[in-house]
Amino acid sequence: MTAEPPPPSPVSASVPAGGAAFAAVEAELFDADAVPFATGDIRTVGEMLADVDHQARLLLLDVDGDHAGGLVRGWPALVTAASELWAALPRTGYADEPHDRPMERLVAHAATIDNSLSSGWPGRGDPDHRVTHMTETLQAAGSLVRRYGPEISGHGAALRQDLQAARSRTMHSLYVAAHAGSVALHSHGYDRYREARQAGRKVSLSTVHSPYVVAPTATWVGRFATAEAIAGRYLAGGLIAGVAGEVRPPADDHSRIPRALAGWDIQAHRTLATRSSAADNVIVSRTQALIAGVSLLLVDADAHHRAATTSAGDDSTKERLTSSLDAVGRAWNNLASRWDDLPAPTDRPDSKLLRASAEVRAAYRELTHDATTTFPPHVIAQHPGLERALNATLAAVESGPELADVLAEKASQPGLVGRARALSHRAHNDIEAGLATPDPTGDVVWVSPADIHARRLVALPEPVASGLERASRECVAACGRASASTVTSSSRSHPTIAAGMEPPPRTHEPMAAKDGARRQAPHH
Amino acid sequence: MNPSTDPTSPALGQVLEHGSDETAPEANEVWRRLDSMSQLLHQAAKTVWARADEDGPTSPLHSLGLGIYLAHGQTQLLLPEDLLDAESDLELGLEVDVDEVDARTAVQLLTEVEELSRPLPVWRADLIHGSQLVIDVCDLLREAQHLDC
Repeated sequence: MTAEPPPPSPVSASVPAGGAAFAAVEAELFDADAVPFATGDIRTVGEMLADVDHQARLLLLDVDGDHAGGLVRGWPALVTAASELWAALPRTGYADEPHDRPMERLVAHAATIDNSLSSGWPGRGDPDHRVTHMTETLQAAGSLVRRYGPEISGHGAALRQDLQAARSRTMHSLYVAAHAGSVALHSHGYDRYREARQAGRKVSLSTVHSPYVVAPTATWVGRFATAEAIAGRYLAGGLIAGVAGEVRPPADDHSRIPRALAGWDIQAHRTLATRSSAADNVIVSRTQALIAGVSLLLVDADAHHRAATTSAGDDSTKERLTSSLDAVGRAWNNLASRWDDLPAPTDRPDSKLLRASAEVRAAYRELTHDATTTFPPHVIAQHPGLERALNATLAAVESGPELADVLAEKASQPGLVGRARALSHRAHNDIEAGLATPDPTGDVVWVSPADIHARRLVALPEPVASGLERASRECVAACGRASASTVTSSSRSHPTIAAGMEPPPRTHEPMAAKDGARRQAPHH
Repeated sequence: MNPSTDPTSPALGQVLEHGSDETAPEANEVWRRLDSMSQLLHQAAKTVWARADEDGPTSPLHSLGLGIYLAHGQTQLLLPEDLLDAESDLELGLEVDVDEVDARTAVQLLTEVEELSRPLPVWRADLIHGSQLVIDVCDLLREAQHLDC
């Protein structure tokens, strides 16, 4: 099942201005039911179900008697999560669907197991962590289906088969997990039998499930055997037949770059808004520089593609675009290099920002890289995902000015410190290169040798502070020019954008102006 | 005794695998090793970016540099936060001679990082993401060798 969270709907232009419109938007934004979960999990429902199935198989491979208690304790919650997902799956129109009955039986059966937990072994306590992971994944999938399932339209055969595949995967996970429980319980029974023999006690062998499974373990073995049988009967035709109609994403996923860039944009803003770490600023700057560099490659590849398929594009527009992209790439790299003088050796970057940046890098490499180096433009031009990647990349360049603004604000904050040795090098290099004004009194020691030797963090010397602020301003200006160029280029060169996806031409506004506009907006 | 080096202290207890026979000096050796890897990765990223900046924004070295810097970030995240207070005891940040590493190529630096990663106990619960780091370092080393930097 491939239901993905759709992008948020843009606010309709026909929505009347005023309090009602804002209230409607806020209701959608902050409605707890409209936000399924916020764990950063970007998997589809199908991927989650495949993960649960995989975890169940791993569980079966690695169980012993010590795991039995945890598996029994985790079973009721696992069945509950599966049944909630099951109930959330879109219906095909019949009030009483036959495939619901096995799940209803499993739920009732799990309820009796839950009730018996307190009456003896294994007692209440922590469930097996692998079962907990499966439960949480099923809960997340159920949450997604409850939120976005009603938006699935159509009753075709493909949809029915995909829904059936989701049920089969869910039931198969329970089937395998129940069998793992049975195996663990058998092992537990044998352990107890062996301990009794070693202690010199006589134990009569059972004749029911296994010779070594004696009371009270025998009761639990019987219960898990029943659960396994219920799930097994549902899967009588085999799992392969059950998931035959499962929709799977194509191996060549052309939406990976747009998805990675959208995730990056959101995460970069979140991190910069909530944290103050020079290491984060380096990652943001370098990733934006990578986006600018790749955009140059993609524009070049796109020109090859156009030259090979249709008429040549507007050379002057392309020249302006590549020139501005080149400038913005250099500006981000220069800014990143300066921020990189600041992080302390123990400065930790935001893990979510790290992952978002790594995803952007990995997504681009699928399109632009051989194993270790970049493809030539004519090879990239043949890739069917080029146009989507280019559009998404140019959109990412357009949002660059906002990030540059935030970093410029951070660069002008008082109290910035950095590594003594790096700052000393930077100050001397900037003065030698004529980028900073030398001190009129002569050759000044900007950072004390004692601080350098002791590897201290010191306040930014004046040439370094002014250099960082100047690089930030240059980056803001370069981003503004690149943003304007991409909008112009998109509207002239890309029919898909010009036809309906074109963003409104915008001029770059300083953050202060935007904040002012926000303050004047009605708020209820 | 400083709480950070006392094996019974909660701070260090958090970073030792529950029930392991590992001693505090052995645990400190892991953190020192990771810290050295982190510094070498940072230096390697700077070396690659310096060349990339000369080559221009489309240079494949930019992607390599970012990859190395992200590996540096991964290493930082593996180090326990409470080691900030223990820095003087563990002597973090002093393992690498910065003047010496300045003169080395990215391939040489990454090779040393890969060698340092070999004895890491990546099976430990608190180093569970270390295996991804080791794989990333191997990929980055291969890429750096191919790009001859």
